Amino acid sequence: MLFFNSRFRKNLTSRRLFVLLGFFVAFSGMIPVDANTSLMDEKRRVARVQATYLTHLIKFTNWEQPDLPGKSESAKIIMLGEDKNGFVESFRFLASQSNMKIDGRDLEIIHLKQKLNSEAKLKLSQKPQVIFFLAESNFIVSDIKKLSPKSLMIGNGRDFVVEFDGDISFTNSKNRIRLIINKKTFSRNSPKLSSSISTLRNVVEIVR
Amino acid sequence: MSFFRSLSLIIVTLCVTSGKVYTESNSSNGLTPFEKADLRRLLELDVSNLSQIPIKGVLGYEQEYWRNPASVHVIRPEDITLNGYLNSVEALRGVPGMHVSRGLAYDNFASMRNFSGFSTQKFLGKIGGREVSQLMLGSANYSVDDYPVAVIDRIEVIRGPGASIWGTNAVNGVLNLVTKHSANTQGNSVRLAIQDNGTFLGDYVHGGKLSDDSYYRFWVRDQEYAEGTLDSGLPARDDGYLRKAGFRFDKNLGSDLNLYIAGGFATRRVEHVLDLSNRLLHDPSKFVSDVRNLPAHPGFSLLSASNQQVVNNLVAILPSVVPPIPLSVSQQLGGVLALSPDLAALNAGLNAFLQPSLTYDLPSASSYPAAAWGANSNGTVNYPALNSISLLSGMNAGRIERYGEMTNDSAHIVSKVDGITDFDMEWSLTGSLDHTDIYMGHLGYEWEQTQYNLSFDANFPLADRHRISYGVATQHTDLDVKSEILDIFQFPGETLRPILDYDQSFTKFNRFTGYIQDSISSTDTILISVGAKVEENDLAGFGFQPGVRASWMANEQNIFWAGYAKTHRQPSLRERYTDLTPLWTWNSTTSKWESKTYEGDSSLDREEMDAYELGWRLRPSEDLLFELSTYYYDTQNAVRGATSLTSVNAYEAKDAKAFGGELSIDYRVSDLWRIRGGYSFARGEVEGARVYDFPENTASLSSHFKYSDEVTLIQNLFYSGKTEIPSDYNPITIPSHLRLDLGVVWQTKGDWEIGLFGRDLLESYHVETMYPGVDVEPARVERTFMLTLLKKF
Repeated sequence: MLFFNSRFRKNLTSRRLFVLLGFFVAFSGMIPVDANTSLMDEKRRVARVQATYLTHLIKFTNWEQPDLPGKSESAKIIMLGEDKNGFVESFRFLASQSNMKIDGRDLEIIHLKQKLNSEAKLKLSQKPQVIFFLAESNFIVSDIKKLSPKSLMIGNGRDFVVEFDGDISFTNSKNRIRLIINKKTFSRNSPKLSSSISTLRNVVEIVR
Repeated sequence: MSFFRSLSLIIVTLCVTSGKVYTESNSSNGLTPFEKADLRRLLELDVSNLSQIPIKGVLGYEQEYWRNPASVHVIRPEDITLNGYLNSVEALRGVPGMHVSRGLAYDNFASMRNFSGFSTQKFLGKIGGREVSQLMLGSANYSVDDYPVAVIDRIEVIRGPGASIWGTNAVNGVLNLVTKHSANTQGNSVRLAIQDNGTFLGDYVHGGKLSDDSYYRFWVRDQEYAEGTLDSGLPARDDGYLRKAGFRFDKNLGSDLNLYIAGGFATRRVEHVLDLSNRLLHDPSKFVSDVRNLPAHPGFSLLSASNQQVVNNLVAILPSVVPPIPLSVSQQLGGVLALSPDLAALNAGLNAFLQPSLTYDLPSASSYPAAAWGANSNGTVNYPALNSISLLSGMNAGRIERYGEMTNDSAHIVSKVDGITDFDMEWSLTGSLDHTDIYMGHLGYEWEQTQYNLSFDANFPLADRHRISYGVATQHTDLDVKSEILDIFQFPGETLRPILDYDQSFTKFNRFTGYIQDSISSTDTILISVGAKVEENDLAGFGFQPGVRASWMANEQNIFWAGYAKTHRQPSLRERYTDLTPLWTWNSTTSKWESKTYEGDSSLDREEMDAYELGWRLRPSEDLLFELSTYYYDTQNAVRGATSLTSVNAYEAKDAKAFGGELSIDYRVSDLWRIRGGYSFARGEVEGARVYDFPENTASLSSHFKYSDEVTLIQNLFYSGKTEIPSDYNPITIPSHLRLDLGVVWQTKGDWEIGLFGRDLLESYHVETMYPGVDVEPARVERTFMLTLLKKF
C-alpha cells in the first residue's frame, strides 16, 4: 500500500514522459553507439556455434585405422592461429561436456598460436586427425598439408576449400553460419565425411 | 529499510564482489559462465537446428539469449514428460510468475502475474504459429489447443508485456508454443498416460520423408477425462473426451526458402454446470413494508396488545430494506409464516381498514417453470447474506444447478513461407484460417468463429550495430452467434430473454497492425531495443504501443535489464456486446416476474497498461543461475466483472495497479542432480482495494536426480497462497495449499521412457479454483497415481 502512495507513484506521469522521450531519442538514432568497438559478442557467438559444428563434424567423420593413433594413445586435434573469440576454449568445453572421443580414443587438443616453428612442425607431423585453421591464422594450408596429408582440414572462408583445397570451411552468410564442404571429403576413404550431412541444403554447400 | 532499497543494496554488493568487468581483453582468455551454459544448450542441437542460430539476433525473439532484456522461461518437451505433466498447460505450474489451477477434470487455468484472476485472458497465446485467442471470451483454451509432446519443440513463456513485437493482448506476457520441423519428427512415437482414476491420454505421431527436401508428419490424440468429485463430495460430472488430429508438411523450396503447411482439428465433449441457486429471486419488500407500516397506522392501537406485540417483534427483526432473496429461501420463510399461530391471530385481528391480512405472497407454481427448477434442485448451499437478517438466519438457499453439454469443435490450417535474401533480410509470410464452434449448453449460448490471419515479418541489419525488424498483419473475424432460452427461464406470459444475448450488429471484425523495432548493440555491454506497434482495430480503435528495453552486462556473471512498454488489451465480445440476463425476480407488488439484465458495454475501451520492469540475471558458474524479475503495472480501464446487483453493466472499467516479482534458481548440483526453484510475489489493487483473485505468494521446487544412467528420481513441490473466488452471493476462499509430486522415470536404451508418478501426495485432495459465477463449488484436485509410457520407433 505504501508503494502506491510513494513518490514513485506521484512521479509516474513525468517518468512516463521521460521514458517516451528516451524512446524517440533512441529511435531516431541519437543514442551514441561506439562505432569503433568490435562486436565482440557476435564474434564470440560465431566461435561457439562453429565449435559446436566442429563437434558434430568429428562425429560425422570416419578415419581408417592406419590414420588413427594406437588404441592407447590420444587422437589429436590441432588448432592453428590466434584465438581472440574463445573458439579453442569453447571446443575444449564441448569436448569435455560430451566426453568426445575419436573411435574410442581420448582427445588431445593442441593450440598452436605462432608461426610454423619447430615445435609446430613436430606436432603436425604426429598425424593429427583434425587440423582447424582459426580465423586469425597465418599458417599456410599447403605447408600444413605437406606435413599432415591425412588430417581433416577445417578452416574459415570460402577460399579455404575453393582455392586452397581444404576439406571443410565455415562461412557467415545471410546471418547464419554455414559449411562449405569439399566434394572429395565424401568420396575418399579416410578421413571420410558421412554423406548424411550433405542433405542439409540450407546448411551445406558442396564444391569442387 | 524498504524492500526496494534492500534489493538495490544486495545487487550492488553482488556486482562489486562477484565477477570481473566484461571486456574484450579478459573475456577472450576464457569463457564466461553464461557462455559455458550457452555451449551446453548448443550441444543439444543437431546440425540442422544449429544452422538456424542467427549471428545477430532480434531482441524479443531470441528468448534463450542470456542478454535478452526480458523475463523468460523456456519449457522443453522433456520438462513435460519427466515431471509427469499430462499436457503442456500443466507444465506451466513450474514457471515462476504463473499460476496454474485446476477447475475440473478437463480444464486447467493458467494465469500470469496479476489481474488475470482465474482466466487465461491477459496474455497472448501463440500456438504452432497462430494466435489462439477467442474474441468472444478474450481467452484461449490451451487444453484444446495442446499438441503431442513429440511435436513440441519448446514453449516460451515471456512474462511482461511484449507489445512492440507481439502486439495487442500481450499484456501480462506471451505464451508461445513452437512446434518442430517435420524433419525432426521422423519415425513413430507413442505416448500413453493412465491415471488410477481412469483419466487417459494417448497420442501417436508418425513422420516421414517424401523427398530429400520435403517431410511430413501426422498425429492423433485421444484424451478421456474421468469424473471427479466436488468439494462437498458430490460427483463433479466432469467426465468427457477430447480427440484431436493434425499434420504438418515441410518443404525446402530452394536455398534459404522454406515452406510449411500445418493443420488440425479437435473435438471435445464435456458437461458444464450453471449455478442457479441465486438466479430465481423473490422480492419480499411488499410484506416488509406492510409490516413496517402497521405501527404508524392510526388504527394500530385498536389491535390487541398481543397482536401489537407480534407486529413490533416483526418490525424489530425485519430490516427496513430487504433485498431480493432466493425463492427457495422465501418459500421456507413463507412456510414458517403460514404456520405461525401468532401471524394467524394477527390476521384474524386485522380488519379491512387496517390491512386485509398480512400475507407473504409467493409466486404460484404455474407462473414459472417450477418443474424445471425442481428437476435441477440438488440439496442446499451456503448463502452468507441470510445471516444478516435474523428472521432468515440459519436458513440455506436451495442448491440448484443445471448441467448442459459443452462442445468445442475446431479446425485450423496455417502456412508459412520464410526465407533470407541476399542482403540478409530474413522474412516470413504466414497465413492461417481457424474455425471454432463452441456450444455452452448450460448457458444456451453458441458461437462460431472463423478467423483469417495474414502477416509479414522481416528483419535486416542496418550498419554493424542495428537490426531492424518490422511487420504488418491483418486479421478478419466472422462470427455467428446464437442464443437459446433455457427451460428454466421459460416464464409464461413474460418477455423472455436468453442468459447471454449477443448484439448481432457486430459480427465482423478487422484488425490491422504494423510494428517496427530496432535492436541496437550500443556497446559490447549494452543492448537496447526500441520499437512501437500501431494498430487499427474494430474492437480497440487506433492504438500506439511503444516499448523500450535494455540490458547491461555489468561483468561476466551479472546482467541487468529494464523495460518499459505501453500495451493494450482489447475488450472481449462478451464484455462489450453481450447482454447478460442471469436472474429473474418475483415482484410481489406487481405479481409479475421481472428479469435483470446487465448490458454489454460497447463503450468499454481497450485496457491500457504502462508496464515497468527491472531484472537481474546472475550466473556465478555454468551450473548455477539466479534470475530476479520485478514489475509494476499501471492499468487504465481494466475490465472487471461487476460486483453489485445494481450495476448496469456486467463488466466495468476500473483503474488497477499491480506489482511483484519472481525469483528463480536453476542449479546443476552435479552431473546427476539438478534443482530448479522459483518464488513469486504478486499484489494487485483495483481502485485502491486489494484483490485476491491471484495468489500473492507462489513457489515451486523441482529436483531431478539420476539414480543411474537409466533411472531418474523426480520430486516437485508447489505452494500456492490463498485466493478468493468472487461470487454474487457466496465467495469461496481457496486455502493455500502445498502439492508434492514424486516420480521415477526409467529411460531405456531402446527408446522407451516409462514413468510412474504420484501426484498431490501430501493430502487426499485440495481445491484450486472454480469458474466464478458459473459453478456452485470447486472440484477436488485429488491424489492420483499415473503411469506414462513413451516409445519412439
